[in-house]
Amino acid sequence: MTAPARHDREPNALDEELVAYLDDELDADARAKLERRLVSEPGVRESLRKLTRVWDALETLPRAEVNEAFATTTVEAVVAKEALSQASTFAMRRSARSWMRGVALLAACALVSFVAVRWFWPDPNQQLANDLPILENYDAFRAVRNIEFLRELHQASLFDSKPTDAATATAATGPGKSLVETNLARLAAMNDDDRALIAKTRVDFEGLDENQRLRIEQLEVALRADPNESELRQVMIRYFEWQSSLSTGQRDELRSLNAPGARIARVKDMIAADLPEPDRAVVFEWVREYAEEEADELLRIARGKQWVPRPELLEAMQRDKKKWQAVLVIFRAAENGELEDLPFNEVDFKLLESRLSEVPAGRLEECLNADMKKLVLSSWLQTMARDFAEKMRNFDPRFADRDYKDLLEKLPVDRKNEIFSLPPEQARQALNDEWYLRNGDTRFGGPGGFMPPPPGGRPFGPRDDDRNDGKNGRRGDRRRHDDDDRHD
Amino acid sequence: MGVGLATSEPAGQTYEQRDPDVRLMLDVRADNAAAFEELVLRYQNRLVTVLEHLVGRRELAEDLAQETFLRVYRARKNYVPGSKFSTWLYTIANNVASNALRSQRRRREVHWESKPSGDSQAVMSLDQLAQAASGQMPTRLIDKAEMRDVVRMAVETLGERQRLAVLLNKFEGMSYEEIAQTMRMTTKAVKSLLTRARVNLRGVLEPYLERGDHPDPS
Repeated sequence: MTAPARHDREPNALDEELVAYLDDELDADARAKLERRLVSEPGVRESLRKLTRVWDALETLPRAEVNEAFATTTVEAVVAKEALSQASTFAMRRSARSWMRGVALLAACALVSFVAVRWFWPDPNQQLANDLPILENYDAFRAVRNIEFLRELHQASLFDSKPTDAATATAATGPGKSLVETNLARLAAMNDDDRALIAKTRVDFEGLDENQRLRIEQLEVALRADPNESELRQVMIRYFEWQSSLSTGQRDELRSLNAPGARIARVKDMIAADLPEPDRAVVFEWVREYAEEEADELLRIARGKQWVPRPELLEAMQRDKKKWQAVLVIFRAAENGELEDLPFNEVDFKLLESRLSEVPAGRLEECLNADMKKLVLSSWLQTMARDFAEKMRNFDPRFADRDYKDLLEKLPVDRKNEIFSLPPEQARQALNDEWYLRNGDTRFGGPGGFMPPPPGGRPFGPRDDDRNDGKNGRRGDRRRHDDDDRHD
Repeated sequence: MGVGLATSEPAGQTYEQRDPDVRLMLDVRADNAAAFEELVLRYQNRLVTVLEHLVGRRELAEDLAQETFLRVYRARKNYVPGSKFSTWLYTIANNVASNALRSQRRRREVHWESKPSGDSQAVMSLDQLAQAASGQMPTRLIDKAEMRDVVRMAVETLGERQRLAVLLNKFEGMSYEEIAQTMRMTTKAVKSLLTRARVNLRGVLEPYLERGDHPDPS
C-alpha cells in the first residue's frame, strides 16, 4: 500500500506558541501577547484555525468499547497469574526443604469423606488439615476441571505420572493415623512463611463461588477414592506446570474446550510443537559449542548492545568464563527477542538439525531461511532460559535482600514504581542492572571488563567518573541516578 | 521485597485527596479486590483506546491492557502515590506497549523478508480511499467514516512518541507535565514533541480537510 507521506517540516516559534495556546499551556503574559497578534494578524488567525480544525478532526477517531466480560476476565487473569507466581515461589521453597520428603508416610489409611470431615470437625485447624492437599496445589486443582479429564490425561500418558515424594506426601497418611492427623503434623512442621501462604491460599479458596469450590472439593474426594491417587495427583501437578508455560492465548484456547477428549487432543498438539527434553540438551550443547567458537563476536555484539551481564553464571562458573559469557549472550538475545542480530547461519542450523530428533528437526527444515529458523530457535531458548534462570538463581548469593533494600532506598520514586510494576524476574533483572550502574566497572566494556563484583557487594558511594564521556543512557552512565536527571 | 517507596508525605496526601483513583489504588494495596475491579472498569476503555491507536490492533491492545493491569496489581503492595493514578498507569502502559512494538517490528522485518509482496491489500491507501470517495461522492463531501479512516491513517504516520503524546493529550486530557512524567521527558521536550506532531498532522490532513484533496502519498 502507499502510506501517506509524513510532512516533517520544522515547526516555527509561532507553531509552538499556537499549539501551547490551544493546549492552555501558555502563561498569562504569553497568552495576552498571542491574543493581541490574533486580533491584528489574519495570517496568525488562519494558522490557528487550521491547527484547531486538524485537532478537532481527531475527535472522529474511534474510541474502544470493550465487551462486558473484559473487566471480569482481566481481574480473573490477573489474580490467576498472581496466584501462579506465588504458587511457583511456594513450590521452590517446598522443593528446597528436603526434610519434607521424610513426611512421606508408608501406608494409606481409610478414606474419610471430605465433606463429612468438614461437617463434623468445626475446629478450624482440623478443617485446614483436611483442606491441605487442595491448598498445597490450589492452582493445579483450578487448572484441572474434573476427575474424568485427569483420568483421560493419565491414560494418554502425556505427562510423567511417577509420583514424586511430594505427591506421595499429599496422598499418604501415616501408619495408624488419619489423613487429618497426618496433615496436622505436616502443618505443625511448616515454617511461618509456608503457613502464611497456606492461610492466604485458604482465603482465596473460601472466596471462590460456590460452584467452583464444590468442583474442587469433588475433585479432591474423587482423588482420594481413586486407586491411582498418587499417579493422578502427579499428572495433575505436571499438567499444571506445563500449562503454566503456555501463553495466555493458549491457556484460553484450552479453557474454551469443554469436552475432555477435545482438550486432550489439543494438549497433544501443543506438546508436539514443544521441544522434548532430550532435544533441549542437544540444543544447549549446540549453543555451548557455538558460543565457544564465536565467543569474541558474540561478546562484541553484546558490548554494542550494552547488555549488562547477569551475575549468576559469573559466580557459579569461574572456569571457561568467556565461553559461558557467550552462552549467556545467546540466551539474553533470545529472551530479548533479538536473536536475529546474532550471526547464526544455515550451516550452523544444518548441524543442529542433524542432531535433533525428527519432529524438532522438521520444524527447522520447514523454515525458508536462517531468520525464520532463528525465530524457532528463539522460542525454544526462551523456554529453556526459564529453566536455566531458575537453576541459576540458587547460585546468586551476592544479592541478599538487604542489598536490594539498600539499593531501592536510593532509587527515585518513579523508578521504584516502574521496577515494582515489572514481573518478578524482570524486576530482579532491572535491580541487577541498577546495581551495576551504581557500582560500575562490572559491565561489558567497563574498565574491569566482564568481572564479577567483589564478594559481599561493594558499598554504594559516589561514583560517576565518566561524566564527560557524553553518555547519558540508562546503561551507560551512572550520572543519571546521581543527579536524578531523568528527563534529558 | 517489602520496601516502602519514599515520597514526601504531603505530596502523597495531596494526590490522595485530589484523585479518587489514587484512593482506589490505595484500597487495592490493602487487598481490596472490588477496588481493583473498579479501577479496571474505569480505565479499560480509555486504556484500550490509547493502546489500539498505538499498536494498531484491537486484539493486541486488549492483551496489552490486561498486561498493564497485571503489572499494576503486582506493584500494589509497594504503591505510593507520587502522581495522579492515570499518569502512573500510562507510564506502565507505555512500557508494555513499547516492548510489544519492538517485538512486532522484529517479526514484521522477518516476515517481509520472506514474503516481500505480502500485505499489499490489507489496508486501503489514502490514494485509493480518496479515489473511491470521489467516485461515489462527486461533491467530495467527506462522510464520517471516510474522515475517520483518513484521520486514523494520518495519526499512523506519526512516530510512536509523537503518537503517544497526541493520544495522551487528546484522549486523556493530560497536561504537558503529566505527559512528561508518563513518557519520562522534560516538559519542554513534550511541548516540542506535540508541536511537531500537530504540524505533521496539519501537513497530512490540511489538503483533505480544506479542499477534499487526498493527502500526498509520495
